[in-house]
Amino acid sequence: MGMLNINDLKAGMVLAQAAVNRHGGVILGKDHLLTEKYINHFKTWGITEVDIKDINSDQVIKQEMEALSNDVIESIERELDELFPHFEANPFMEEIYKIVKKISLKQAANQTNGYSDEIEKY
Amino acid sequence: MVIVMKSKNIDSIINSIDRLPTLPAIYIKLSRLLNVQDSSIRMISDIIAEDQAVSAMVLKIVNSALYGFHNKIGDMQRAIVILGLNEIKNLVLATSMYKTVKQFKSSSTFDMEEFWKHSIGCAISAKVLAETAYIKDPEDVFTGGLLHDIGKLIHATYLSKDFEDIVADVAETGSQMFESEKKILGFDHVQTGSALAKKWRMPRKIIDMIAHHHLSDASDTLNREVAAVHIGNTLCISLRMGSGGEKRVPIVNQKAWEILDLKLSDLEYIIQRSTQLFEESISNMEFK
Repeated sequence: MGMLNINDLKAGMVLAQAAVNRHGGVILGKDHLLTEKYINHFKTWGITEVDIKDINSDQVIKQEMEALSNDVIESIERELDELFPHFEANPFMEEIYKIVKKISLKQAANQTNGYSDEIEKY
Repeated sequence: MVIVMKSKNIDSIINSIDRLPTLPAIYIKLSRLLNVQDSSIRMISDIIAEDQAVSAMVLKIVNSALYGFHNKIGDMQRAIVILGLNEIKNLVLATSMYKTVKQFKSSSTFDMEEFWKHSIGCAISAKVLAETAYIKDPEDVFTGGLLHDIGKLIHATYLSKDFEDIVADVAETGSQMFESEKKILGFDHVQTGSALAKKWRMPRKIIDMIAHHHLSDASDTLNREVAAVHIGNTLCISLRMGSGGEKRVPIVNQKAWEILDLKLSDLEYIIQRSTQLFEESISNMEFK
């Protein structure tokens, strides 16, 4: 189990813990199977992350990458290396680099999966 | 020697430009009115209605997905009641600055539409940071973010020859633009921008956000508002929301991150929310 960002959720995943809104109200209980409808519901409620069974966020990135060819991954990495200067021991910059990379991979994956006309808004 | 002479002349440069971008009259009137205690909603909506383009745009944005109201808001008075005065003032500044930027011509070295997107992207990211960090007036941070690079507009427009050299230097060396500006002009866009904001009689707080947003110098003022604009700038460049001409992401000053007292795990939410608001704002203001 692991906390997953709302944008990484997919129908068929199972909640390891109840999904709660910012005020602590339960929107969907533990062990529920997610559907697109529930995921949209979470977005409406401003939920940003939920706990999912049998997967964590690193595995999600790995899965995204598996769907992409090496060429695409390399070109994304090259582009980001040009955009980001070298930084050392700066946890903030490391985190933002990681998030931007995830967004780029996700957009590329959506494009190759044929969703190019409706790139999922991050 | 030349450098010293040049840097002394920012004020005279600002004063000598005759077609200097003006702060829209409507914004000045509105700010003045908001400081008067007994101003009524009617008086405020009358002032906004004087500028038809701005009031139409404000109503369009109020009714967009950005706010997600179910019923259509048809008149300005209702919009003011629902959104509150500060938010309205924000929208008026953003829409009137948009009109101002649009009057200038893009060149091969400076694209006005990209610059506008960068400004609104920084304003939104800084405001989301401010809200998440519980800064008292996120509206002021929005304004600071919107105007943080206004000095670049002056350089690109009125010092266009030097600006070409600056752009070439940024491309060649991978420097931040302010470093190349100092090298070539002897001063940078935060100095020009804050001088302009002073001339516009912007509040001290806003001038500080413009003047110190790079936090490049030990003498720079670091407060929570400055920190939000400093980090907002890095976020919107990382996310490629428009462009103010920088080639590389500016590294965030760790003290700025610490002073906001946020967790790294807040970042994903901040980025997600900023991106969403940015997309919606841009789709409401088509740059033509």
